[in-house]
Amino acid sequence: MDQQRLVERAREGDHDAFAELARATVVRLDEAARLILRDPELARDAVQEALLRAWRDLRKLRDPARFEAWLHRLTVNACLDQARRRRRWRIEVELLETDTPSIPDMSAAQADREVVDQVLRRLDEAGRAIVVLHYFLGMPLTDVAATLGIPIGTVKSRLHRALGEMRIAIDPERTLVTSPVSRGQPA
Amino acid sequence: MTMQHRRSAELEATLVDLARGPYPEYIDDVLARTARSRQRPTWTFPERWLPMFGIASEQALAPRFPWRAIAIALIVIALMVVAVVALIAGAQPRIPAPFGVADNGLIAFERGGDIYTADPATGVERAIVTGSQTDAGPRFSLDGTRIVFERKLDYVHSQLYLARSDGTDLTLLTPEPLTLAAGDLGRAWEKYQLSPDGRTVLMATETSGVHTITIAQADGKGVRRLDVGMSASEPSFRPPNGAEILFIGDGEQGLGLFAVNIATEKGQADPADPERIWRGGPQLVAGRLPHRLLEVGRDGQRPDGQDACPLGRRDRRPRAPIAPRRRVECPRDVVQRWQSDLHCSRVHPGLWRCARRGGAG
Repeated sequence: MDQQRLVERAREGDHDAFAELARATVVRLDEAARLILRDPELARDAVQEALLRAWRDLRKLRDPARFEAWLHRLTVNACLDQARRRRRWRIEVELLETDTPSIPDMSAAQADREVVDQVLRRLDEAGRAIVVLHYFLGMPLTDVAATLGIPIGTVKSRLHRALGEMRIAIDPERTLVTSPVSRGQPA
Repeated sequence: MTMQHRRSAELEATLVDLARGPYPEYIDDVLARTARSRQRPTWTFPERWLPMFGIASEQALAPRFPWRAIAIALIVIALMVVAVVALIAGAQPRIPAPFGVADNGLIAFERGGDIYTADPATGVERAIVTGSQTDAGPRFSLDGTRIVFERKLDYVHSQLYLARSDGTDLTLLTPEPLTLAAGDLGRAWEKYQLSPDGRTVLMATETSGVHTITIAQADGKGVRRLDVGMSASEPSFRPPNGAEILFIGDGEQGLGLFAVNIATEKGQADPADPERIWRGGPQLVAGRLPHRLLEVGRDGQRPDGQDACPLGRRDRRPRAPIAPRRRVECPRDVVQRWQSDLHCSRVHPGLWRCARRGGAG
């Protein structure tokens, strides 16, 4: 059964249909949440919250074809809520650099992974959400702006700043990303 | 593939690699919870009824409205207002209203060591404080809601109690037994009384043979003796609020009517306005004196310059000072002797006013 039909049935109260939809999307949602929050436990809470809201408010969704985008939006908002709560309670700890030399035989892919990971950690949750929505979930920048409720210009500037940090962090000889809008989709 | 697309693909791949994790097993718990919960009915969504557009809201970055800080500030302000109101209300003397039902209330009296009240209209009596102790001298507060009375421990020592007019809520005012000092005629109501605001009880006491004034809190939480610097007898609250006490003092200035402020314990006759002091006095002092009073100069001299009052049997009890003259009490024979060269007139059964013949009285 296609996703649209499942959404329609779930909207009519069919929980089995919703379960099927949730199982099909939970991995992607969990990964996105972990990228945004950089914390598996918080990501789990955010996804749980998003799915609960999705079930409760499913009848609010008018266009079944927009189910995934809507679910992504719920997830990102739940992530930002979690981040806000965490910010209220967390204690900032500055990790000092050690003199340990980097691993010399690190492969290029592994090095890229480390750099992206470090840069993502330096961004705030909103910045990470932009990167994840656009590059990980493949959402056009207009939809990113709508999902986060911020102007498209703000999305672009933040993405540019995030990618600029990645570019600076990475070896100039192996520049990973040089353009703020790199997916080639209309911004 | 352009360079940009290639780099985007690299970033996507890196993100997928970063995001890789175990399967989210918690989906079963989530679905169990959703299965137990109900979906919101369609009619509860505003979009159902109102034309709505995508309203942009800065959920992630906009500063949150400081509800908590505002709530705490409001609570603090409310507490401060309550404290100020309580402070102001507490500072206001509670004075019984000068009006009310114009009828007679109960009469309190003692009988056989117990305290009774009686309705003068019906004659119905009711014992309100009973027991093996010897209770005496009940005295109502001005608002008629409470009664203060004396519990005699022996011939000398007593303790004061306060109770509601029905005998309940008995409160011991003087944990330490004390010696109450009656006035000249030994009337119980001169030994103690509740202040007009009902917050304190005034007691005429005797300490080491000296007449003293003792104040007790009506809630039973404190007793203190006023230091007026002289022997003080027959104290009485001065209307309207009991901030001052009138008493007969025996000090360096001789006997006289004095006023003392309870708060400051500054006690002295007011020479600037002696008449003000005196107004409280005629009934208190002169009206019941068994001896006649003569008016003499403040220096104790008669207006004709002679000794005011030769020592006699009771001549050591001059009374309230009146500037520039004060009144003294002298034996009848002295007055009769003075009448030969003074013009004396009786203004009261116990009061003679004398002046030099041909001079002002």
